[in-house]
Amino acid sequence: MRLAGAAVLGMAAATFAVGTAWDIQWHTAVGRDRTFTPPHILMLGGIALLGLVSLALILLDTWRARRGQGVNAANSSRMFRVFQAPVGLAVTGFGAALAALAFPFDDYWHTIYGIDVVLLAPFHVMLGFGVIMAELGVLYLIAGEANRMTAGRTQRATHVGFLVQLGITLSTIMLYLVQGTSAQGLMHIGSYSYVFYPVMLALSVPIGLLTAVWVTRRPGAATVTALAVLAVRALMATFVPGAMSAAVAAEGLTYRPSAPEFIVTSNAMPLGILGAALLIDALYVVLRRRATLVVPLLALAGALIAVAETLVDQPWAAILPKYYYVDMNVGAMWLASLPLTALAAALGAGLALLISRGLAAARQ
Amino acid sequence: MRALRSLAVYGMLIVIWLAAAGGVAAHNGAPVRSFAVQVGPYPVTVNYWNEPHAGQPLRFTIVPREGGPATLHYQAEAVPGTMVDAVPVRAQMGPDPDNRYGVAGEVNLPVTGQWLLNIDATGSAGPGSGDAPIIAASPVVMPEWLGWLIGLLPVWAILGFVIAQARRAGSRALIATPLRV
Repeated sequence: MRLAGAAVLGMAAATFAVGTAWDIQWHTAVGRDRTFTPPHILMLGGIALLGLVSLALILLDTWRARRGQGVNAANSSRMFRVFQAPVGLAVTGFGAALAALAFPFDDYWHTIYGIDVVLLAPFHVMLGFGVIMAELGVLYLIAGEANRMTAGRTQRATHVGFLVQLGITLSTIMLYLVQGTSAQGLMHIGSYSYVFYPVMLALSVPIGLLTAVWVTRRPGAATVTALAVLAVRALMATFVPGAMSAAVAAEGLTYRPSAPEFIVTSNAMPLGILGAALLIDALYVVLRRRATLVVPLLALAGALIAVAETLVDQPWAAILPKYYYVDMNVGAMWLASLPLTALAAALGAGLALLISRGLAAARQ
Repeated sequence: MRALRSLAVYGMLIVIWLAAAGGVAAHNGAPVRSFAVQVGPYPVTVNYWNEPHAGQPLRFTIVPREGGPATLHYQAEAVPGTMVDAVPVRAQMGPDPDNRYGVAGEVNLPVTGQWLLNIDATGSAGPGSGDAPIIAASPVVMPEWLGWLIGLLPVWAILGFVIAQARRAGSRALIATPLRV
């Protein structure tokens, strides 16, 4: 029942990610004339499903616990002295609530600052990270189930489900890469200028791929996660053009003069993540016998691979000089961004370590 | 039985109320603002029935000043000023219950600032266009630091949860074991 619920929650999360890709395209190509645009409705649908399904599962488990039907302290946690359910479901519910709360705040922010508010604006961050928090809860739910299973086919299948959900979560984090392919892609700290895209990429890649390996300890774990990311990317690239055409025609709207010729979000999602994943998986197979060194060595390798990937995935290099900064020297900007990129990669590896510890030990 | 009957009566009342609310509501009292606008060959009066506020719809009516032909057809949209980061918003139009020659409309004003209510009319004298000014008032402006304090709530929550779970698990949670196949 819990794993079936986790599958529904995963689909809700994917709905939000695809809805957000549509919304980013809508903002850029058409413009936001009201709160309940078609992509906003899809995003809200994903958030509502995350909240309602997690609540239903919490209530169901509480009821089962009261009737002594297999829900107990070994496989769930007491919450607010009333509920008995896996802690991951509470995290999902709170995350969905924060994301839902972000919507009216975001509407308010747009009334003051206009329709082209950047992705890294307060309530865009609240919305995205609310859903990421909800997805983290789903990961804890699945990991808890897998950790209580004995090794075998069922545990293997559950781990695959975990890795797919991890890929969906990583895709949601990577939505913020779009900022790196916009006019705000060049950022400044005082007089220091850097390109946002490689910094964000280097932060997010280790979080997803190292967590995949450390939690499941299976060959190919990082690759499965990367394939899930690419599947979400393909879904965005397939769904958004048709949805745009249909909704714009149905509402009798017109495209803005600045409407892009490509799908903004899928264009920003990194294809090179598959290569990074294969490398990380290969290294894990080689390093696994060194019990005390496998974690720090893989963390270092993961960070270095993430930095190297920023050389491969450079959609910003085609867009920023063409549309926004005609004098930009791409190579020089990548080099100038390197210190911050390396720091982000190290931070990503550190966060993966923290996240993985909790997930690997999750039982309730 | 009595309960069912009461439910049916209340249900009907709700349906009637919803149906009435679905149409354009009659306007009470005087408009808050009125403008004399020349829409091509057609002189009209544009009335605003609420103060324009960003994030809220503006209710308006367009009434021909000279009585006017009943076959006059109107379209309207709110067009943002050059300093307003927004796109034009089409108005929802319908008959004016208080004036058989006029029309009533509602248009959303998504962003603070200067807008124009652009009106296109088509009638026996041909097509025409005219504008009425709109100043969409801003809501109370939240300081940016407060926006970030609220906006970062999920980030703090995620970090707090992850750190707490990691500390509970301890450093031995990621000990290497033989590779699972």
